[in-house]
Amino acid sequence: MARRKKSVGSNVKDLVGKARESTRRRRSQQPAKFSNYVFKVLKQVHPQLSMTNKAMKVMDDFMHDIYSRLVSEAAGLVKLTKRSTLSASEFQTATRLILPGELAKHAISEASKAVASFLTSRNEDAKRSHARRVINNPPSMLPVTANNEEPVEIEIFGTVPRPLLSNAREVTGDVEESMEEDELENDVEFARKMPSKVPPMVKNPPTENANVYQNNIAPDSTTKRVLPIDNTAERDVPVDLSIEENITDEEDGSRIQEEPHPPTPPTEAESDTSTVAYETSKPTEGENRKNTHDGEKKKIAEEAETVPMDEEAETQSMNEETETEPMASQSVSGRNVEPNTLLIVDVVGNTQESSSMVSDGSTISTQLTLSSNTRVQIGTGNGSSAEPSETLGLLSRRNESVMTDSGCSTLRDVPETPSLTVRCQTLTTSRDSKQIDSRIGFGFFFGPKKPAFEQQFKMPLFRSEEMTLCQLFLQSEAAYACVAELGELGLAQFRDVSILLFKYGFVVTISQLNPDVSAFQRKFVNEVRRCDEMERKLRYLEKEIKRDDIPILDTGENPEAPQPREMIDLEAAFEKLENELREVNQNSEALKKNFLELTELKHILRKTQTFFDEMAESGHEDEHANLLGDDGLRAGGQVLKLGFVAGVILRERLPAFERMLWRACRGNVFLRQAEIDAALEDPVTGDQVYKSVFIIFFQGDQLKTRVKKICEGFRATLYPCPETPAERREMAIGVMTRIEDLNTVLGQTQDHRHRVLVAAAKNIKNWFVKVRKIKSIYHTLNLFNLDVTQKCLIAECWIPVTDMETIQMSLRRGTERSGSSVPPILNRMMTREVPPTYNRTNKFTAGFQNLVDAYGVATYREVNPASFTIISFPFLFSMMFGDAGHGLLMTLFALWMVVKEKPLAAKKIQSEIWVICFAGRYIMLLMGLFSIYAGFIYNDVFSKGVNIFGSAYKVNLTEHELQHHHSGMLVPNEVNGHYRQTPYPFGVDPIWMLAENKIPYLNAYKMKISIIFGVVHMGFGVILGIWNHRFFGRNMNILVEFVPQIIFLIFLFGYLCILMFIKWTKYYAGAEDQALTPGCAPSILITFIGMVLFKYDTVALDGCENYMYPGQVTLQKIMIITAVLVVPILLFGKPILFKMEMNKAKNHATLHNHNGTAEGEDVEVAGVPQTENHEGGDEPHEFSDVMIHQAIHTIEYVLGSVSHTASYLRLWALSLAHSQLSEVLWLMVLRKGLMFQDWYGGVILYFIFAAWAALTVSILVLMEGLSAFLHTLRLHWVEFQSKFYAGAGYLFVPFSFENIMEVQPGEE
Amino acid sequence: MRFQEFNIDNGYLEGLCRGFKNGVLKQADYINLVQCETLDDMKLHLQSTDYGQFLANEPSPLAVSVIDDRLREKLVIEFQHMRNQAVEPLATFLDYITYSYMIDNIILLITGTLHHRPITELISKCHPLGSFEQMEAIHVASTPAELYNAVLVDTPLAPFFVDCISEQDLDEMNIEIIRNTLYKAYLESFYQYCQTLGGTTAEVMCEILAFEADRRALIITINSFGTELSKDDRVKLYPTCGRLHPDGLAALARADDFEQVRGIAEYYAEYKELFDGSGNNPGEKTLEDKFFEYEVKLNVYGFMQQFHFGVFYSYLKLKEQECRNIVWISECVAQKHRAKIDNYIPIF
Repeated sequence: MARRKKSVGSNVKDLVGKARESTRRRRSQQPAKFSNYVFKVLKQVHPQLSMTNKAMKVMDDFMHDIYSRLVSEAAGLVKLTKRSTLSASEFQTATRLILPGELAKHAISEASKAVASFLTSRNEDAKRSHARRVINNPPSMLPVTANNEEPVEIEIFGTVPRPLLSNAREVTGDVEESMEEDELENDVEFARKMPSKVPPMVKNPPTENANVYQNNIAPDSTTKRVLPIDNTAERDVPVDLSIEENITDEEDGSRIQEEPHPPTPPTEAESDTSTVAYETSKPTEGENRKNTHDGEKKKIAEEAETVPMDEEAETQSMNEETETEPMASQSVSGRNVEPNTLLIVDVVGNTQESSSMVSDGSTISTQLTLSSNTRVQIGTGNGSSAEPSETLGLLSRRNESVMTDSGCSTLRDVPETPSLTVRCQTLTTSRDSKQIDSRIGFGFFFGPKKPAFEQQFKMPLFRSEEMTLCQLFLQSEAAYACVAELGELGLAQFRDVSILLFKYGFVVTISQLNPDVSAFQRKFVNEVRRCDEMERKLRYLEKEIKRDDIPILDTGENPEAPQPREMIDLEAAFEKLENELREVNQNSEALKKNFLELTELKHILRKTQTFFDEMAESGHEDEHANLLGDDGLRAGGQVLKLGFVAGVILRERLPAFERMLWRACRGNVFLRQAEIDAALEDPVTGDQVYKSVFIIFFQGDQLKTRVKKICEGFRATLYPCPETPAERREMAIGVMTRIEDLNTVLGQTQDHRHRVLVAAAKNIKNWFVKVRKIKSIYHTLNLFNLDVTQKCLIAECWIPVTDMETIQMSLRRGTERSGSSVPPILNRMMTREVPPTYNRTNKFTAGFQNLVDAYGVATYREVNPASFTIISFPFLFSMMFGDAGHGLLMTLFALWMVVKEKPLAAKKIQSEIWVICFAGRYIMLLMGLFSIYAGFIYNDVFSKGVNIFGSAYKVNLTEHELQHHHSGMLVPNEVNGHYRQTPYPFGVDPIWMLAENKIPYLNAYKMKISIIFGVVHMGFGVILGIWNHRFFGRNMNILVEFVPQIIFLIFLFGYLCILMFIKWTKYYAGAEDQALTPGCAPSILITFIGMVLFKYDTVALDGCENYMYPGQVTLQKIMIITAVLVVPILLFGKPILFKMEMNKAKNHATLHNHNGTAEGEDVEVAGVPQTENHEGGDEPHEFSDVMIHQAIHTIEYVLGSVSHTASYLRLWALSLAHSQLSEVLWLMVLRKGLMFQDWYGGVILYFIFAAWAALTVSILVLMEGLSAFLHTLRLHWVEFQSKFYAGAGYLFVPFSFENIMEVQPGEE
Repeated sequence: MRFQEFNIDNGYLEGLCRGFKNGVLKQADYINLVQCETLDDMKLHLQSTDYGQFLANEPSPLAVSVIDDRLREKLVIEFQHMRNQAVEPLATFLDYITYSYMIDNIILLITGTLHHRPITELISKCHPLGSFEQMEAIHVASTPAELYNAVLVDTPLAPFFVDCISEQDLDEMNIEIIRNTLYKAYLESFYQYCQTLGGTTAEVMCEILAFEADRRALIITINSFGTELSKDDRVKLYPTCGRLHPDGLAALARADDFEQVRGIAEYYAEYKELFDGSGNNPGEKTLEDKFFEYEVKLNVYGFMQQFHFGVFYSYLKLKEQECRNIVWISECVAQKHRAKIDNYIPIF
């Protein structure tokens, strides 16, 4: 903002200097034009904005128009007074007649000032005395006095308004010339000359002037192409800030030719008005831009062709209409008042700050007309001519420049105003904000209003950021880089516009209508898929790295999104790594398998050896030894040769295996098994498995195949086992050596693998970030729409208005990086959609914002309670949690988190409780600090009071009395009480901790402050509603909603608080008057109930008075009646207003139908397709809807006031619970430990203290803290925010790498 | 009262199952899938469904078989999870569901061994839900009796097998008979079990199982035309728990050609519709698809009621149908055979 507030006034001076030069240079070739100056001023004030030629012409025409009107009016006046000399007074009167109110005054004063300074500078030496006189004269007085006494100046002044309000250069040039001719030394000479010149001008313009006009108009329409604007644009404006190309609008041209501005006929002067359209876009000469903008520009242009205003009629009816209906133009249907130039409206709007309608220029919309504004202005008329330039808009600024054009240098410095800036913003925002608001409100017209202070002081958290929907045109080559930059920036939320239709010349988004468009039909699906593939490889790598327990280096660095061509390198690198790794893995798997087999074999040999040994022990030495030997011999004397197989099987499969064997072989096999103690590694999965060695003996080949089949079925691995012991031994030795060999090879493979992985581990995080960035960029690009020419991508995004430049900068960076020549175009769009809510937070405010958002995201631009929550939340919390000791614990914990913020955040602890605590560390810190404060107020430190200042009571009790009589009641009486008459300086007197009446005393105190703070809190909430009403232009709501609400609250509950204060201050123990003693103090509660029920006791207690102050009954009755009476206002006010507005709108609509297309065009300007019925969108609020809504609202508020006030009693209740609980802990735990007097007391105390500390932390700090937190949250959500906060918005989720990186790891 | 008790043991699982059911692909998903050009497109789209990242770790040239495996894997994991959490009687119920897969596996293995395929290759084709410990040793057996004695006697299928113990050699015909006998026994037993469970479970499950039985009977009849299967043998294979029992089955036993079967189905409103709408001409759906559609419908109805076990069965069947659909679509996509791509059976 600061930049925008650049001085306009000071620029005007040097501009004028330049202008004068150019005037001279070009007088012969060029017609008089203001456009150059308008443009220059615009560029100086706001380099980002540009102005269409059309708009420029409007400005120009406007100047001419005013001028011709003034001149003709002045001429008419001369005729009327039957004089032959046109004097300054005529011009002044003419100015007054034509320009409204303050503007006229201002114009006159500026003009005289300008003349004066002109003279001084011109004839510095000769005319110093004149100049001084002029300056010393009050400007408005100048003409009258001057008329008689100083004809010289009058005459000069008389001449000036003509050039002043007409073609600047020509006429001022005139003056200059004539002055030069006469050398301006002989004023009288000059004055004498004038009368001869002027009269003809009135009837028939003198040749000189006529030339001027002709020059002015004719080339204007013919040489449109060579407007100075374009020259300027080509000459000295940076590429991206050039003025838009003129639209070749034939219709427009012809119109201009048809209606050349007749300078002479004063009453018929038609103001050819059109809109000034500033655009914040970055115009280029690029074809793309033309394509896309022509449509929009046409709309603006068309809108600009407004119905010519019958100026005379307006001026006549001006004064009558002025004060009567200033609001008329505020209604939605206000556009049937003839639309006029935006600029004029704006200028006028700027002149009056107090007017509700156009307070500071931000509310201007196309619907307001010159006449309506004029009226308003006359009605308010608070701007004083003493400080005109602060409020005057462009019009007066033109005047100044014209005046200074004539060479004056001593003009009073124009105070710096952001008026032009504001105007520009207005022009661009008004339309969409109007639409937004007309949807929010109930059919009133709502131009958003920024209260003045908000504009002056930046209040970031007070409202959400102003957002705008932008269209982004990116050249295909540059799109990637630009989106990458935006991703780093994280300020743009892209919308899915991947499918667009061209309809009615408009880009219509239908993707919302067609959500079935699946992901793969988009343009960059292939790239996304490649990223997926890369991610897969990275995941594989990561898995392998983790398997080897290699630490992954997390440098926390954030590499930039790689270029698209870099993607290929990355892909290649990953591919290579993956292949290498796979190869290594395959090798090592094979080796491991080998190793496993060998190990198993080794075990088999070892285990089977025992089986064979057993056999040997049993006497069968030879390998033909058989178990069935005896049987076999007995059977047929024939030695049966037993075959056997040996193998290894998973241990858990063994029982089934055994059963199966038994069944399949009908018990004809013999199985021995032994467990392998050591776990073996499965080569494929790497798991540890336990296996058993078995050996099966059988007889015959048939059985052998069967056994083998079963073994196969159970995945048992069979190993050849030699039959002779010698062979076995030999084999065992061979196996051993091979295992050793394998071990070394395996070690080498492992080393290699390790090296590869370690190298990868260094980079893997980095790679992940890169790939994710690429992927997210392409995902975003998929949301874009391809232009028909395939040359450019069109995106739509929401961005904060204040960040437009940052975004443009980053876009430019992106373009540069991609080496593209065509700059991206960021173009603001008009939309009826409600923008997302974006509250810019920092790490401190983020926590509080989250608390508010958890209830509901604020409606767009609504007052955001978060800023107030920062203080009120910890405060209300501390009222419940008030204990300095517990607060200290909380503070220390929060402080630790705050101090160690960075290392703790880097740890990325996933535990939910921790995440919540850590996110709320600043809230906790404040809560802790406030609790310490509240603890000192309550005088509670771990439930014990501290006596810092010395108690204000003196109790004379002996130790014996204390121990046995327990009469620890404190009497605050002077005479026989204990009070010393000097209060304890801070907080609660510590002696109350010992008093028997501690609880009643503290309860009374805490209950009352709870109510007081509650009412203040709620009242504040209600008051905040004003800002909402004003901002959304629902000014009448202040009257029908805010006022009744606040009256109801204050008259009932505010009064209750006042009663409390009266009771506190009026009644005291040592009072002389008995009526003022505490005994006579009435109960507030009873009083309040009596007040509501109109019950008043007539009989007073002895020596007491019934009422706290005289007239109490009357006042209370009045208040109750008023409070009840405002309820119907609250109930019916808004619906009735709505009804009225509806009726008015209906009338306007019927009237407006005669006005033809204007309405339709308005809709178009908003960038909304014609097909959408604008009016239809606003209609659905039926009267009954409004009525029901308001009824609910009213009931809610009225009943809510009662229940919410009572709800604040939780502040007392929780505070009481907290202090009681901590006292119990003290009495029941720690005090017991302190009562031992012997040495072992210390030992016991050691443990008791541990118990006490644990209980304190867990119950009092954690549990009580949580409950107090939740209650505070409720008080804010329900009691406070319900008074003003709608919370119906949706969150702004920008495309940001940071967010993406945060989210992604969580998913895995 | 029953309802409250139901939730004590099975509430969690039912909730879980209904949650899983919500992940079943919708018509919109199928429309998108059908539009896919390549399998990678399908992968991309499936990512946006409940399947999520199930294919994320597969290297890029995808094969249909991989998709099939992953789909099945996911389904099995979900089912196993439910099975592991289940308590009686749901556990038995869920076990019953797996028996049909066991039967299929056994038949597959036997057929495979008959054709001298290596057992490892066959094992990988078995449905994981139907795997049992002794499964891989099945090729030991050469006759049904052996099969029973050596392998199946320990499995839960043993009671179903009693009917088909014979000393004949295992051949194609025999195997089919074994399969169908097993199925018959299984279905009848399952039907019986559901009826003992009673309540809504019986209502829902019996309808589904009755249809299953009838479908088998009809298909057996149709398939038996022109084979050496005698009519008497055929009768033995009809499950008797369906609506066709007893009259329809008796009629079926006498049927000689397709028209007669159609004639029998005329008497049953539901089946008449199926037969009427089916045909082998292009544009018409096959009888098999019609049956599938009807099955899907029944299973979807299963979700209309609460507090019963039918949802588990229905879920599994629906999910299976979904896997078939996806595999069908991916086959069509992979073979660029788009003409028949729409022949999947929509579920919701």
